[in-house]
Amino acid sequence: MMTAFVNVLQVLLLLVFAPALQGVIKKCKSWLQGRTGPSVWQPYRDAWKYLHKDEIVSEHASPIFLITPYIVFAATATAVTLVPVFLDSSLLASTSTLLLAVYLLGLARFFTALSGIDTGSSFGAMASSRDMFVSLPAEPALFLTLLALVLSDHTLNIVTVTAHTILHPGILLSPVFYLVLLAFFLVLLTETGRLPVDNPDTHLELTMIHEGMLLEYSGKRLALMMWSAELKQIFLYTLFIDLCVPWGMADDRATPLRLLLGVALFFIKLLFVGLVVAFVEMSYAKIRLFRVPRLLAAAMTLSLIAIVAQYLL
Amino acid sequence: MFASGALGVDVLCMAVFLLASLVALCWQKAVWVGHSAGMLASAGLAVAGLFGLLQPQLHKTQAQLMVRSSIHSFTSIVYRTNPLSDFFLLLIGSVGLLVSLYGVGYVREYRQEKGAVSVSLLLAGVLAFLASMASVVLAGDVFTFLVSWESMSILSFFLVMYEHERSEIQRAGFIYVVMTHLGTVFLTVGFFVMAHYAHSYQFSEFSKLDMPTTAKSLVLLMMLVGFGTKAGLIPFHIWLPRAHPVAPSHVSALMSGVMIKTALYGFLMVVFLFFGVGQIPLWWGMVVAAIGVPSAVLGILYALLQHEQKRMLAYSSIENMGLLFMGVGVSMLLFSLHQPDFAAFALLAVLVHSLNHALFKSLSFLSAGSVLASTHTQNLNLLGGLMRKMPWTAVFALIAALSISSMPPLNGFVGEWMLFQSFVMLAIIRASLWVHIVAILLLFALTGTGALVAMAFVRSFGMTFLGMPRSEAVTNAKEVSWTMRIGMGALALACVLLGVYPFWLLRLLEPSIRLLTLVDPVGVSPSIGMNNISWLTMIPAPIHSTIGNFEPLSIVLALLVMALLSLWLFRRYGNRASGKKARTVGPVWSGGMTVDGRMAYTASGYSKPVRIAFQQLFRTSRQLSVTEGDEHFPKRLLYVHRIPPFAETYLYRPLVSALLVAANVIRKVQNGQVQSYMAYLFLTLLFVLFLVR
Repeated sequence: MMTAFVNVLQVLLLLVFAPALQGVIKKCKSWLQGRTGPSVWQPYRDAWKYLHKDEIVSEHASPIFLITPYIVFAATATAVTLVPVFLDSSLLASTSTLLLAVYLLGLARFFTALSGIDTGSSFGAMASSRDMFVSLPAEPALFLTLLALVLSDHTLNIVTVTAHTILHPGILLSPVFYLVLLAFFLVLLTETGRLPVDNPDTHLELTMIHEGMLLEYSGKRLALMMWSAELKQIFLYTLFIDLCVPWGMADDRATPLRLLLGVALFFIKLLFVGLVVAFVEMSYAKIRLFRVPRLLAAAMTLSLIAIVAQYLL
Repeated sequence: MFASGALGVDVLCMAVFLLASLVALCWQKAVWVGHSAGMLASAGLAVAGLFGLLQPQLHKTQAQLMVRSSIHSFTSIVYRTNPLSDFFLLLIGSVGLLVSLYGVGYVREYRQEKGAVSVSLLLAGVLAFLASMASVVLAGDVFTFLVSWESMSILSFFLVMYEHERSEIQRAGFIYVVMTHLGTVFLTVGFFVMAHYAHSYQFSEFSKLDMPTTAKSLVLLMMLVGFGTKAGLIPFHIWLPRAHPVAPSHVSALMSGVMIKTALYGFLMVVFLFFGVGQIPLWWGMVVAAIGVPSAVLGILYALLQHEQKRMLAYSSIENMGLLFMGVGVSMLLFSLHQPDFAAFALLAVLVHSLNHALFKSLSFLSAGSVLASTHTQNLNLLGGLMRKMPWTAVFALIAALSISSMPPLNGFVGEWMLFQSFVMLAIIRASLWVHIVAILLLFALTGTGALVAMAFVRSFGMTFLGMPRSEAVTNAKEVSWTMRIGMGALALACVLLGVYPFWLLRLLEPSIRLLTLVDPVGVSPSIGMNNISWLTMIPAPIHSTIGNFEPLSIVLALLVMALLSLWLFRRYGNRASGKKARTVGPVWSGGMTVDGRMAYTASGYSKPVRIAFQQLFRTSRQLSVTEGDEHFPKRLLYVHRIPPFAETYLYRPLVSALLVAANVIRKVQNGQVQSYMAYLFLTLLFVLFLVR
């Protein structure tokens, strides 16, 4: 029962701190660019503001547009229940296979793309088309990277893989590990809509992908869509931490103090990933849409090399 | 005795189909007799199949129905059942029932257009078509199988040619009939080779086949071509994207959902029942999996670029057949690597996915048919905004789209999940480097098609039902009749139920798997290494595999809880206090102009990035011409782009022209002059004399 309680806590932790991560990355980026930047808590203020605003909905929109935010949030939040955070277990540990996690995000993407078309606005449909286009190489790239990480563990269960990795810190010495790390990071940038693939800060119609689909949302539904995007980001970072650097996680028999240490370590790791992302965002310009597949092809090649090398080594 | 009873019901149902077909032909007033008899017989087939699967022990008494003819031992009619044919009967019967129900409303359109005679002809054709498909899976010897196979092909050809006035349909029908006969030639030869070694034409003798491996390999390749043609595997697919879309929509649903599955049935029967799973050479599996890969990837890539909805669905069927054959290939590979449990799991995945595909693909075709009936167009670029006009059809189409894109928790995901698991199983056994690489490439193809499918169906659903209407055709659209809605609704419900609770389907398939693989399916799903069980597993019905579990019910519960959480947050903290309505409906912003349908994004535009990214592959030709106004101030533009079908351009065209060249050479011999024919006679005589000397 205690474990179940901590598992629920893990989910709540990600739900609550998802906007903060966004704030932290923005803050880091601002510092790196020599600006003060908005407060770390700005995403919460935004959400609160949106929550209390009236909504305006396109006259062409169908019920799909209205229910999309709930479905997107539910799908992303369900994905969150699959991954371990600071305890090497999760709420839905017994069903937390890779395919399910990725396809839950796919469900969210599916509906977001539909809502982009639904408003009748050309910007929405264009962004939706671009988003799906970017996902074409991104999804297999994500799968290949994940497979490179889990194949040697003989299981596809995220929780089991994490536990297995914790027991075998030896992989840190393997060169293959760093190839996968790099590949995973490239996929991470793409999937969370970061530079050099998508620019999360701009609303310039020529460049936007994810923001374009949310263009017609306002009020509480916008708040929910933003929260879901932040949730997806923190989910993917957590997955990255679970599969690549899970050491320091508490186990079933941990004392409360050990749990707190686990939480602290998780935040440090998350912060570090966020910092690297902010650094990459600062140093690169956005690339053309048709260059994105090449970036992801690089990630796929790295993973493929890693998989074959793992077999040979 | 019960088994023979079930077989009796099957044969009775086929007889009812044929009788009803005759009645519809001869007595055009009584269309309702045909419709209801068709539904009754379909239901009968489904129930008989279900019964056979639930009571597998009854199959031990080999029930056969045999009509021997006095001419030759070959020309006898033999029917038999086994758990595999039971499964396919269930598939044919259940989809056939719902499609027939839909057809009642759908043919009304044709009645006004083409008259009552034509409608009864269509009905008679559909009924006989259903009977022929049932006959294929029940056939117990070579003659019965080939005759049923041919009648199925010819009947579906007639149905494809239903609107024969249009020239493109004539061409589609011609290509279909040529291709399907080419396929049948390979099948016939293959079956005769097997019959030669089995010293019998009975399928029951085929299972004790004693054949050298070379002969088996040859037969396997013939079967791959023969059944692959029917299944629409690339490069034998060219008939499918032409023939499936032009048939009446409920016939398309039957062809794409059910008929191409009979090819899978035949292939499974030959490989697993006749050849046995004991000695499968490694390269067989490689070949079968390898032929699935281009079908899956190219099939969906071409689907993504189609602007006709039904043609796009036809390409998507090619993709799904590709996935199924990849699965069969993986299962064969796992057998040759001595992993029977994993192999059985892979085969289970194939069967589950084939049923799921039958459901969601026929649902897609039916909803496309509803749109076609209501708007008289299936051009995605002219549709849009139909959700308001046809809300029911839209919901069913959405369920079909989600299911095809294998989104959890719908049934498409279950099949995809199981296929993914079995491909990973092939990777983790680390048999050899090459097997490992093949497994990774298969996984890459599987996941790559997953993303493409999602894009294709976001596009087709979004462009049909969402946004703004892009033409007049949409404005007069009405929701379709209730029989059509019930047909679609039941299929949609099946998609949801099999996604949320797939467990009973897996249990139901146990006898089929046991028959094909000789592995006890209980051994297929041991849960090893899963100590980390969450408290939610109190809900039963997970799907186990050795490398991970899937609990659809927990996922549904989690989705519901999270959706309710967000709703509650809105209720609690959201904007409700202000007296006025919190949601205003307004025009969409578009740079200060009034938006109309012509400005809306089109389906061609939606898939343009893909077209550009795969330019090398597609070699699109584009033309832009001004049709109104002058060059500098155009008022109306015509933009035409054409994607040349690659198989025709690179494979069939050269082949046909080579054939024509050869024919030209031969024609010189046949010059019509009596003298030269005399000379031929003389030469032949000399030759014969030389031989008998």
